[in-house]
Amino acid sequence: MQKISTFQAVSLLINTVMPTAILIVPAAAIAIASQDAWMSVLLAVVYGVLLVLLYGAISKSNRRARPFLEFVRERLGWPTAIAVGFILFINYLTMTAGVLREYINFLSDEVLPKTPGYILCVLTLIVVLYSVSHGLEVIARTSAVVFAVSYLSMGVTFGLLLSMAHWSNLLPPSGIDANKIILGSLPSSNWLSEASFLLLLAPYLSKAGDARKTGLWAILSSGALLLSIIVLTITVLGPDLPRMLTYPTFMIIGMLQYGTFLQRIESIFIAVWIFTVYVKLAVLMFGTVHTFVHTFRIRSVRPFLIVLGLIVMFIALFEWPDTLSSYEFNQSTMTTSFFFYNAIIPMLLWIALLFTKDRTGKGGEEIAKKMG
Amino acid sequence: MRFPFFRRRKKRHSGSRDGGKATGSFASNEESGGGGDKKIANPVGMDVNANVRWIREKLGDSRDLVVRTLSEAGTKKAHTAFVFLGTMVDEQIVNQVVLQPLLDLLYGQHKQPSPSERFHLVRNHALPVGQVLEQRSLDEILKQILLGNSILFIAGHPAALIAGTTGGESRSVEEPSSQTVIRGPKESFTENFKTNLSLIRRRLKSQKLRIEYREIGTETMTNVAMIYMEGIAQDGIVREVRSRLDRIDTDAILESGYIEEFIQDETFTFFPTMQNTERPDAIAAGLLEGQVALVVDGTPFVLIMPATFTKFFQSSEDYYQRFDVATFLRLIRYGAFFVSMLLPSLYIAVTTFHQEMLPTSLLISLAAQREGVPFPALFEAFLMEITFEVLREAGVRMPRVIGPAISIVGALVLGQAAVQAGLVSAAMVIVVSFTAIANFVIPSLNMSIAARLIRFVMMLLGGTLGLFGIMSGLMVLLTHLVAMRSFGVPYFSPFAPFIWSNWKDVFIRVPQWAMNKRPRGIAARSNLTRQAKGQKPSPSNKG
Repeated sequence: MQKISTFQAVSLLINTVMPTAILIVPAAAIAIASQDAWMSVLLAVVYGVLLVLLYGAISKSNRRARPFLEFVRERLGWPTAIAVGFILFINYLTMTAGVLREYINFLSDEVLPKTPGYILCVLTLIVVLYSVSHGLEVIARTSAVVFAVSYLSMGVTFGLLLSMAHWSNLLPPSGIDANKIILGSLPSSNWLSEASFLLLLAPYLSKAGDARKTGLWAILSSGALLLSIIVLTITVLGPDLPRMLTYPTFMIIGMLQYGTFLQRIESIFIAVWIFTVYVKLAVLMFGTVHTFVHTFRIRSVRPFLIVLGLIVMFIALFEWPDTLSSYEFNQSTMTTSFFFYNAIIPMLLWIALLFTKDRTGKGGEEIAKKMG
Repeated sequence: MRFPFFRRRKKRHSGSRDGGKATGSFASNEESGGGGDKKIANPVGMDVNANVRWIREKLGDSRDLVVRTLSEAGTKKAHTAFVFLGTMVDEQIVNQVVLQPLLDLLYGQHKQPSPSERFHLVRNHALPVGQVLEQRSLDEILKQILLGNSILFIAGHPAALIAGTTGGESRSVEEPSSQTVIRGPKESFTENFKTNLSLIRRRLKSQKLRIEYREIGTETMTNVAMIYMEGIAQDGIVREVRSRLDRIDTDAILESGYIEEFIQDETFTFFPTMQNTERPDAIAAGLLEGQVALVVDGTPFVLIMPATFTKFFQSSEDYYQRFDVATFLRLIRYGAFFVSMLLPSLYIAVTTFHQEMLPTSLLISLAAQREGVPFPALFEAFLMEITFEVLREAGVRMPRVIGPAISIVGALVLGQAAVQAGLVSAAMVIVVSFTAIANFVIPSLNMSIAARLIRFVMMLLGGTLGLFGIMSGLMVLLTHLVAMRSFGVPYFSPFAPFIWSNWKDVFIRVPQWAMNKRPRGIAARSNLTRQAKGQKPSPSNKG
């Protein structure tokens, strides 16, 4: 079985959460919570930490580091494993298609307005499937390199943006409205809960038992990044402008200008960001293929990789007739579906695991060591 | 380090250690040809003429086969025959060191010795060459003749003597032509197998140096030496190289490139998975880092493996110059690699799709230049790049005396005239020229070729899908690099997997006193320390 270091796993989770969060969270959170959106992010981080503790507890029961669905099959029987596997498969399938569609919408809006969407979709899927065909280890290594390059450039950009910040924008004009803060935390919570990929990832960790640590690092880092983006957006643009913009993050980066030599760097930022989206899509596509293969116990993965890729492509292209309908879909179903897949299902699993006996016995850890 | 494929492949090691049971090398016969009780398929006969006849027959009465028979005075019956290929031996050795003493000894005897006495007399007293061996199999003897050794048959004795007389013309040691340095050794490998081995051995006077021989190619019988440092190279890697070499079954090996294609990890890739060099110092350094070298007879290019991506950006000179200069040059090289791979595609993408990225004045200037150009930027770039590739290939193939003519045609006619005629813009000529020059900065030719090939793919992506296309291409490239392995070692280490200790020799070349460890992942884990810590010079300034 392929093995992944803790750093690679953390980078993988951050790259699963952040690319779309950067795009969507600032506008959505600021629209609801206004200048208090930063508090919403903090609240979301607390929720994310709780979820990660839950994922860590489930992964800890998997002493022999078996693939997640195999572990569920061993502990809870095959009907449960098939049910859980199928639910996760549907989740990853729709997530992959949804993110792909959002990505294509973005590219069509901001980067290549004249290029037909299906061309972008096909090329993106080719890259993603190529990555997935090499397995999770390669995705994780790619992710680590992408993480280093993209977040280094992001850090520098944020540093430069500080000079444009007006900190007074953060001051509340009236008292703090708890309802707005809680509602505003929902977009961030949704994206942070994507760390549920940890459940599939944990058996691949080279240090078995590092799942909780990995998850916590990922959530806290993602939270810190989200927080800095939101704070910068509010301080640079004020609390009212971002809600009118589709992609405020790219807007503030586009405003960055130092003399005549450093200007209009949002294209470079978008170019780097494209890398992170590829990693995210590869992770989600891997989740789709992995859950499908393990649910239906398929041995020959490659033909199904192409078939699943085609299904994802068709859902992404034809499920939503236009950008607006995909936006509406996200608005209406996102919170419920994220909460169901990433919180309710793991919670039920954890409870079920509490009430079932570990049949692998105490020797499990030794076996896991030998396997590793 | 895990080697997933080591377990899968069936072990078929038929090779040998230095001085062991090497197949077919001259040294091999010391053990295998010594006779013993083993039954020999095609033994040497008592009759000298019959043996010679057999060899003549096998070689199709080849005209370069020389047979010198010696008979007793007054009889025509040969008691000794001396056989060799005139085109393969060193004639001076044959005449002065073998034939002359032989005649002196055989005809200087007062009484005729018995066949057995004659054999031992010749073996012990008449042949003052370094290598004299006994052989009983005619098949093996034929092989030795083809390798350039001389054979001595003695009537009445069921064995022959083989004298090491391999020779022939060879080039002397000269300066390397493809990897020149300003500071550093000026010696380079030649086509001569022994010379190449001695150039390595002279640099590594270590008891750990191991040389194993192979003979590959049923028709060429090319000598291949596998060299590594025992205890420094990983056993797994040595075993893997050995087993891949043993799997080669072909008629000819004419250059190390043949071997490379047979044993490399990935065929369908732009990137090389093993290095080649004509510099003995580079090989010595590689061996000391735990790599394995393959010297192939007949070529000055020695292979060295496993090779990771960053190895192709290191030059021998990096270690002979001060570390700050070396570091600066490393960074220039990595930059040049990206320029060489991406500059034309970025230019196409920016001028076609993302004009907003350019400052207004530059944009206006570029637009003005392109005003009269009838082609889209992608086509314009392809035109110029292909022109340059043709010029480069012509420069390599053409006779040297025509060289200046090509330069004039290239620079004046295709460059200046094309711009004046309005076929291409001046900016495009600058981009293509800078790209071409940047390509020469990469120290390893096979990596610079990779950048050249990828450039065309990137241009296509940049020209059709702009920055998005280029980024997609780079993502595929990154995935490909990360997925590749060279003899079990991840190709893109120390970036991914991340190995911090190996970063001291990637972008930055740390001073020699700080380079205390051998590269992790390539050298054996048990022997990573190469020097003592704390050697930073701290001279006293008193007095």
